[in-house]
Amino acid sequence: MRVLTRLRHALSPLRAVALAYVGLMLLVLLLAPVISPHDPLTQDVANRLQSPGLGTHLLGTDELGRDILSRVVHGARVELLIALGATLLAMVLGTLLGLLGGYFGGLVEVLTMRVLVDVLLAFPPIILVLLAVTLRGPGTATLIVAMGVLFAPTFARIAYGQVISVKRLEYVEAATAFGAPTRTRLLGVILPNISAPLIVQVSLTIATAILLESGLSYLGLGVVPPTPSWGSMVAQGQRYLSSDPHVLLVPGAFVVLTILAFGLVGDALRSGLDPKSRNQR
Amino acid sequence: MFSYVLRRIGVGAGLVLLVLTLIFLALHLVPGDPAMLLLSQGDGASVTPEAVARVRTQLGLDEPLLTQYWQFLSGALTGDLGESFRNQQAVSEAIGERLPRTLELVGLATLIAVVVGVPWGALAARKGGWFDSLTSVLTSIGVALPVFVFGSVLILVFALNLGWLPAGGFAEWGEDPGRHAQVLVLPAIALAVGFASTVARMTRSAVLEMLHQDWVRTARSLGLSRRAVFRRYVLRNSLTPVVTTVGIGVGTLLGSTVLVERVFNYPGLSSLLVEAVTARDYPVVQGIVITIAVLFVSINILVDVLYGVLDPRVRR
Amino acid sequence: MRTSTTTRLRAAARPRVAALTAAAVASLTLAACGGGSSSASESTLRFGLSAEPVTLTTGVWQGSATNFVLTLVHRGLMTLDESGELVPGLAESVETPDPTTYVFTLHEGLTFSDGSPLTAQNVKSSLEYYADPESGSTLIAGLQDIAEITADSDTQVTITLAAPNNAFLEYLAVPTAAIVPDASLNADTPNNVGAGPFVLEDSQAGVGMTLAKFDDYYDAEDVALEEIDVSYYADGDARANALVSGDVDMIDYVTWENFDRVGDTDGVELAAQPGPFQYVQFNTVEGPFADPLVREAVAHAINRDNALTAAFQSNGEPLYGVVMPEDPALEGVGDDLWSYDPDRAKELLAEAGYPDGFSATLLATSQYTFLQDTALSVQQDLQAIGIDVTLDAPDWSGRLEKGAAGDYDLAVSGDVGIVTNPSYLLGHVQGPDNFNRSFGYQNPEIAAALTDGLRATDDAARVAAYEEAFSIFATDVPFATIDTRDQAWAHSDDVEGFANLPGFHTFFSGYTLANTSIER
Repeated sequence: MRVLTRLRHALSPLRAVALAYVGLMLLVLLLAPVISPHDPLTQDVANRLQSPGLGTHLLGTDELGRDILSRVVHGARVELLIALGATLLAMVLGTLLGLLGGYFGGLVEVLTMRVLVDVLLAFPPIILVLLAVTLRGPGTATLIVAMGVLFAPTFARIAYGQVISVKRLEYVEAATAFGAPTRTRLLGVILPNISAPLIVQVSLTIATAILLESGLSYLGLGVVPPTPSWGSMVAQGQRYLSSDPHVLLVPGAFVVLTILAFGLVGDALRSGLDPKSRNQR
Repeated sequence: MFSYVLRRIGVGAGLVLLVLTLIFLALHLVPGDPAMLLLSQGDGASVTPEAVARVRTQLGLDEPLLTQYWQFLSGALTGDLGESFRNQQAVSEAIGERLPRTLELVGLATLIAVVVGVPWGALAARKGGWFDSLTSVLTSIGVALPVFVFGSVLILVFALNLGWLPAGGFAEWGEDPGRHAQVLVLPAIALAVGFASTVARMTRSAVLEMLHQDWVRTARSLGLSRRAVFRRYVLRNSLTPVVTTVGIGVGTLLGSTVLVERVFNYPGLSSLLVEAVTARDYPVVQGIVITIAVLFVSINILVDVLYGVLDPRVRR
Repeated sequence: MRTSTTTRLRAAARPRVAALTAAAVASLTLAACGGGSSSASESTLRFGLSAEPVTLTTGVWQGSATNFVLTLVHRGLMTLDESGELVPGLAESVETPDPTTYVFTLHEGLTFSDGSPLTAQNVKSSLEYYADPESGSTLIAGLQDIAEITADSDTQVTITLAAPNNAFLEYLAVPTAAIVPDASLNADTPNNVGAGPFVLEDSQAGVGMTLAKFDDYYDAEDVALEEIDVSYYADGDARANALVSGDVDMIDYVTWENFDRVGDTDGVELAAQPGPFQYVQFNTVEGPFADPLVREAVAHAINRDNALTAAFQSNGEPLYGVVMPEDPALEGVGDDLWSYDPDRAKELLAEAGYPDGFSATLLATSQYTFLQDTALSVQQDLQAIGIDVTLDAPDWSGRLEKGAAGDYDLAVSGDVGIVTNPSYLLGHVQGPDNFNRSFGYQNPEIAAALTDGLRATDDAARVAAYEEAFSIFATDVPFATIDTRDQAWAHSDDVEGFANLPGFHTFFSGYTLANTSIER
């Protein structure tokens, strides 16, 4: 109950709107086939590159005459699946590595932080994805795994840095003194106290994932066409930037709004969940 | 401290060796034949199997994998990274030319990001209210802007419409310093926007956290002015996670300048890396990956040492 | 300003004397200031090239960027003029006393850029090297008929063919057929020394290269450009931006999205010509497309106009047959083999035993957007006749490997003939498998008919041979054509005398830079 109250305090009107938007997106994600006005894949080359307006195509059509609104709606599914999937994977994987490495030190630290995390970080990020895509072939699953692995080290290093900072603090020592088992100390005592920067990182990572997906599409490494994703729509639209900007701007606006919303919700969560920032706006 | 640094360097060397082996194996697992690709760029007439076989021999690709690995490894240890399949340029020379260009770009972008991001984030945390909300919105947009889109807009506005700056390309510092600087401006800005936003957000969140620490209240109750506490203690203590962000950010930028380099036709290291993977130019890919790994390890050790300086609790 | 895509470009009469004087003045100025590479000096052409040429290997076809360099640095016995007509190059004249004998008289005093003389002996050894399959040369199809090459004197070469070959001279104009010093006739020596109008002076990997006028070129007095300053712009938008903003004077390969933007820019001219063709290739070894009926169904199912609009913004021509040379005698031959007729396609599928269609994989590539867009358009057309198509879009390297290994059901491809003579089709119906031909497809009958056409010495026999070839082609469908795409170069109005050569020769347009001038 206390958490809910705190969360409510943390919810400014702006954040409330953001939360509503995220909810709406999740709804769109579930209802995509029902609410989309057209088939997102059907081409109508005769009516290509139509500007948004009242009529059959509210948000216009793309270079193959496909309805952009329908593609945005279906693209939300693909996009959020990739972004959330990759972020979740990265968070679980990274936090676990960071916690273990930071808490135990010694050989565990070498194995987690040096061997796994540092080796991953030592590769230029683009090559990890490049290799994954060329090896496994482009596709949603490849992207989720590749990006999840790619983002994990950031979580790991943040978690590690935080654990190092707090593990000699009184309350952890106290928990040890009271004989709390290692699991409880790690997950019950340390994790909640280091979660604030991790949660901030989640919203940042979702943003990065959406961005990276579009960058990879620009390089031809994104989802396989004709599957719509916002990133690939932005990348395709970039070619028509000067002549038909709506092809870029419509999915681009959704990318920005979604990242913005996740950022604000992340802030709300952080200030709500973090006991230390109770009185914060 | 000294033995700590020494140990880190030892671990770092092992790390590079691991990276080196992994990239070698991964490249040879990836489908695609460099010889065939060399002979079929884009459109064109048919390749004869004889020609492909001959090029394979020429590139040493018909040797057993283990032999190739050993050659690569012993070469790398002596600093010889081989030569490009495509233009026979020595890989170390290619990296020597391109790394400074990318470092320059990344350095400039980092400078912009830190100079803009840290004060902005700190100010947002301190002031709160509408400025904080505005910061939230702006940094989100900054983070959300695909760099290739923002870059294209910059070109559209500043190069094509206003004609203030070149649309892209590169000029050697030694040949044309003026143009060298001009060419850097737009890509550096394009690269910095997202990074500055990240730094601002991280600073804001770290400062907020510090502001609510008990010792801040203690310091205030001891009669120190708000300003003094903020400047002397809060900001300094908030910098630990910010340094991490910047450190990781620089590492990430090093590998991800590719989009900017592509849009601005800037002949840097990352675009070479992507081209080389696309062309299955093994020596170039391997050489770049090793170089970046070595750089990363060095930066990493530096950041860890900085940690120790900024946060005495870490010192062992 | 936009040049019409169908009318051929004819260069205006060249202001030779004026250009020459300007060139002389410019060379003095250049010598005085020591040559700043990016300064826009008089008679230096700043060129934005779409790819970095790989190390030049003698005789080997290495793609359009490399061919561009070859057209500048090298010359063969034959070359192409500004309207794409075949004309003598290093040879001053060619005589054909009978259909199997060619006598070439070389220009006097020909010299390679390393200072050594170019003699009839170099012609003999170069062409013999290109006719050897071991060299990896792509000219074998054209040169395999050579029976004997004799150097009659320092400046006269006689070539005897085993059989008549009416594309022989055209093969000699291909940039990879250049005459080179004997020292270059191996796979390891970079093919940098030639007898062309320009010399490779300096190369900066990943950035660009500088070519300077070659003063001992046989037609040096007509070469107005003192220097060509090439920068590499791999990205299509970046390349167009460089031209529009004035960073360079000229670019190759304008991407189709940029046609209007570049064409509408004041002071910039877009020169477009119909060039390569796109087609669907089939796996004829395994799967449903081994059946000619199914292949024919595909040929009737493709909506060419849609594909053309989707991939090329309608910059090109729909293709219902094969690309044929512009030759009045061959008018109407081979250009009308199929039509867009989905009902006919469905009938053919039913006849082949697939009334309810089937599923198939369509190999495309993520690296070239136009091939991907073409694939999407074809996918929709095939869906309409009941073939459920899944797209496979690896990068270009993966595409090559899968294409060569037959790891696909259908694939979309783009290709040019190295010559416009229909013998370019031979590689598609006989010989080893390749990434851009139908996997496992062999048709000795078509090959024989095409060869008859190549050997024919009169028009009636040629027409008869090709009609025979294409009547089989129409129902056996070695590949199903989609469209030809316009291939564009663009340059500032300051550039005079450059011509985009029509048809497959568009990639050899670098030849006309020998007669190009720039007036700022």
